[in-house]
Amino acid sequence: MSGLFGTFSIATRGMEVQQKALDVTSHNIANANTDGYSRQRAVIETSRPEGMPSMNSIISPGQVGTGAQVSAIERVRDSFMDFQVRGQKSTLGKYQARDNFLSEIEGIFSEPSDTGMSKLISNFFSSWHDLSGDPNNSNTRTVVATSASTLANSLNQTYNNLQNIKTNVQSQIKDDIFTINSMFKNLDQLNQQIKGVEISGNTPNDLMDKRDLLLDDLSGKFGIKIDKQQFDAFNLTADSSTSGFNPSVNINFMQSEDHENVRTLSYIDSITVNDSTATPPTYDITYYKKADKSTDANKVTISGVALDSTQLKQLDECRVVWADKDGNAIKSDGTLLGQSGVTYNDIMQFKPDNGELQGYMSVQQDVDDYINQMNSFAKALAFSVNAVHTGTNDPLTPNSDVPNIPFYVNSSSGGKEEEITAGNIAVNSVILNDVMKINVKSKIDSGATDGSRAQAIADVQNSLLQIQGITTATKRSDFVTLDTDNMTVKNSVNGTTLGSYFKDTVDRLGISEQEAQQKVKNQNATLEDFQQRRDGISGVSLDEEIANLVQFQHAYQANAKIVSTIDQLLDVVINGLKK
Amino acid sequence: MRVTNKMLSDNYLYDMQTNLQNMKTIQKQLSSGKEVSKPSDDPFKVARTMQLNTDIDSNTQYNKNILNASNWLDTTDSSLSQVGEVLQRINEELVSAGNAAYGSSQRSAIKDEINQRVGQLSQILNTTFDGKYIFGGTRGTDKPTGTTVDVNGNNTIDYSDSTEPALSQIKSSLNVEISQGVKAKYNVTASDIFSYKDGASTLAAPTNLQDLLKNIVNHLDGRNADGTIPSSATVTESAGNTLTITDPSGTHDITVTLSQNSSDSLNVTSPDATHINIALANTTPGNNTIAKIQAAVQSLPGFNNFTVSGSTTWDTTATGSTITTATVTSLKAPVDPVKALITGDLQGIKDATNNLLKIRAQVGAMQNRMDSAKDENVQEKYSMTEILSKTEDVDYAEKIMDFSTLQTVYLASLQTSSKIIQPSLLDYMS
Repeated sequence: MSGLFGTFSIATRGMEVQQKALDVTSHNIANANTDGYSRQRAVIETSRPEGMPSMNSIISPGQVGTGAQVSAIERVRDSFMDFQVRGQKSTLGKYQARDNFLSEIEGIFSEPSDTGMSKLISNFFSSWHDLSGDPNNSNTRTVVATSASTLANSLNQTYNNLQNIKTNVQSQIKDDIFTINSMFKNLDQLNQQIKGVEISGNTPNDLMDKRDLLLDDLSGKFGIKIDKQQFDAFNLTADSSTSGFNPSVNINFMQSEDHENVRTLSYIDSITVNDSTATPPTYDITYYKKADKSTDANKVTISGVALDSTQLKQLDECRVVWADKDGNAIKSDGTLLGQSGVTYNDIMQFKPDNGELQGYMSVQQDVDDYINQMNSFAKALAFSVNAVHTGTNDPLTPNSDVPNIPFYVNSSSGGKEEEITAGNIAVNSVILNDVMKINVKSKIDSGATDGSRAQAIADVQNSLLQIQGITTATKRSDFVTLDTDNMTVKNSVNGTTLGSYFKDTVDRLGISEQEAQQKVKNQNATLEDFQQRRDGISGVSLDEEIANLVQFQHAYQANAKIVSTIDQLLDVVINGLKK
Repeated sequence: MRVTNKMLSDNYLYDMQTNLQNMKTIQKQLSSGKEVSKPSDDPFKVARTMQLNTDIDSNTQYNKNILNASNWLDTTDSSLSQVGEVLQRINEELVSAGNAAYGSSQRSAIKDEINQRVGQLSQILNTTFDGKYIFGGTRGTDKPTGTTVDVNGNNTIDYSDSTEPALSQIKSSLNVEISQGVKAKYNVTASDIFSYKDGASTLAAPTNLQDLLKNIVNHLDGRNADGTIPSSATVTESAGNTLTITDPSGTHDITVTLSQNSSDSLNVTSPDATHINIALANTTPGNNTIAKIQAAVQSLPGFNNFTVSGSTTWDTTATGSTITTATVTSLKAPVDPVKALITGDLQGIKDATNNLLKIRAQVGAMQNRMDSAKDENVQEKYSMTEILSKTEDVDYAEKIMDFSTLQTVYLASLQTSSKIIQPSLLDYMS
């Protein structure tokens, strides 16, 4: 369209465009400190020019421009940087989770200090030294009984604290799974909204920012994999622990098409013994759909699953299973798991390689290891002290020269000596009630001041024992052999002393925790680096926005000036040409 | 790379956190004085620290053991010196008892003193230390020795219980661990002091103090070692022209040679060590046979009490065989109790004293060993404590330098960040 009105509309259009650009700029400034916000830019392009050759148009020079328009509001975001940041966040999540719990475990052991178990072990053996020099004195005997009790109590406490940590870790996993499931729901809503907006031709920038923020948080929990679909919708699944499924099975937590039919995660709350006499023993597995323990309607029990000890451990440490949209556990072909006739290999465990979940699962393994080591230590202590105290390495064949009073016993009712653990080791109540019953002399008919057996027990501190080889089935006779005097413990070729073994445990703990701390530190630095780069691309720079503000302001003023100029010209035409 | 204001402030926050972390670590080290407070700070150091602490505790225990053994040995040594004095006194008494001028009443006085000494010896051997009898072996809750009064009213010393298993308990040794795997015997038993010579002991040939002391008091009473009165051989006439010479103590050989000047045969037989029969074939023995035998025997030293009893039908003056001389050969003199005091008994006391000196030397050597073990122990503790301190203690000078450096860094970061973060384009827009 030619003529003044044509120019008029170019100017008006120009003003609109600048105003829109100002809107975008003010939106950027308002969100300068919003988490996850990526700056937006108005893309201004020229509107369609006049003068396309046709029947109705006048042939005149040029293609005359018709002004500007905002073609799109672009979001400045590099999705590759997102991918990198998320990868680093997963790794950081894993090590942070480990660091948290390992430092708690360090607190339990409280070494090095004057009150740690290392000192209690020294005190225990010192008291036997004193007893050997003064065997007829009831004071020295009482000191032995009390220091032995203190050591046993400390072992019990450590065991209980470690079990508590395990329980805490498991509850963290449950909370995480619950959060993750609700995040899936939110993501799905956003996904569908974004799809809806895209279909109608607009770019849902803020919704996409929200979705990306949620995905960042999710990547901290486990490593995610995103497939871009049509209309900027995503399909979301895990980047590991998916190989067990058949190829055609749907493994998406969120998907663009058919968005209701997705997978979720459920949490195994307890694994109790069903039949311990079978080989392998069978268990009842109880899981809560989507880790929602608020109502028992979500509880599902699978009975009679046969698990050997390794499988039981795996399941106990992992505790998360793939489930369908309602939270029912599924098999590798995608069908429901059912409540009976289930084998271990049917259960699809969710074991990511990265993220907080992996951190929590691996910490459980560490805790299990430490519990086992404490148990081995307790068993070794009980076996060696009992063997020297009763003069025989087999509780079923007592030595007739020595009263058969074992020093350390299993405090659970009906407990056998080979089932002693750090949690149930205790001093024999016979000895606590009457300290004169402690065997200190070499034979029953030895003199009253013969402390040689007490001395032999004190020497156990330096005996080399095969502690690392102890299993739940080891008996006293497998572990200890006494010399011909029925008092001295024979050194094992690859053995260590009790104190060294405990020190090794603490050592290993220290190294693991130090590694976790270093990794957290390094990861933080790396993540910081990537985040800075991402911010460099997507972040709002106030200086830049202010400069843009000035630019658009001037352009608006210029366009307004044109309007007023055209107004004056129109005035000439309308009012000046004909009176 | 494009830089935004938020990036600057994020940077500042991150670095400030790092600085504060470092300062927190140093603060903890300075206020606790230790380089490490938990295993993850430096696992190697913590392992070393734990090992050193355990070793130092063991060392302290060994020190205690050595101290106890030292005190025990000191008590033993002073008791043994008292025993030595007792034996010395007995020695002097014996020497004076051998004085030929002393009669039985002086000897009786000496005997009374020696009885007291025996009692004193038992008391010394029952010394206690820390509630245990130091010479009692593993039977340290009961007295090892005791005295009893015998039929003659004399004190005899012996173990308070000579039956098994008490006797082997008294004789057993006590050991103490003075350093890892090193055990030392530190006691002297009553039996070490009693038995001064090897071999079984009898009253005739004592090898232990019990028998020796019994000998001494009996000899002082003028009795034999077993308390019996020394008796002499007797000659009796028995049927069939047989003279029987009997020695009740049964330890002497008696050979009598009778010479006669007739052709009557003389038959001398000895049915056993206590009897000797002399039979004359001629039924009419000569005169003064018994007197001659008696005189011959009495002429031997120690046999002045030799008497003849029984009928004296042999002493006839009938003609026939005549015993002209009687010689006695190979007759062992019974021991003269008083003589024995200065021979066998004195030798016994000397042997016992030598044995005691040997034991005292051993105790002295043990005390020296304990002393050097204590010195070694103290030295070891000193080195281990030094290593422990080097491992876990903070070098204050170095740490404070580190701290002031960190503080400078922190202040610098605060100052520069405040200058960078604040200004923006807005300040310059009118």
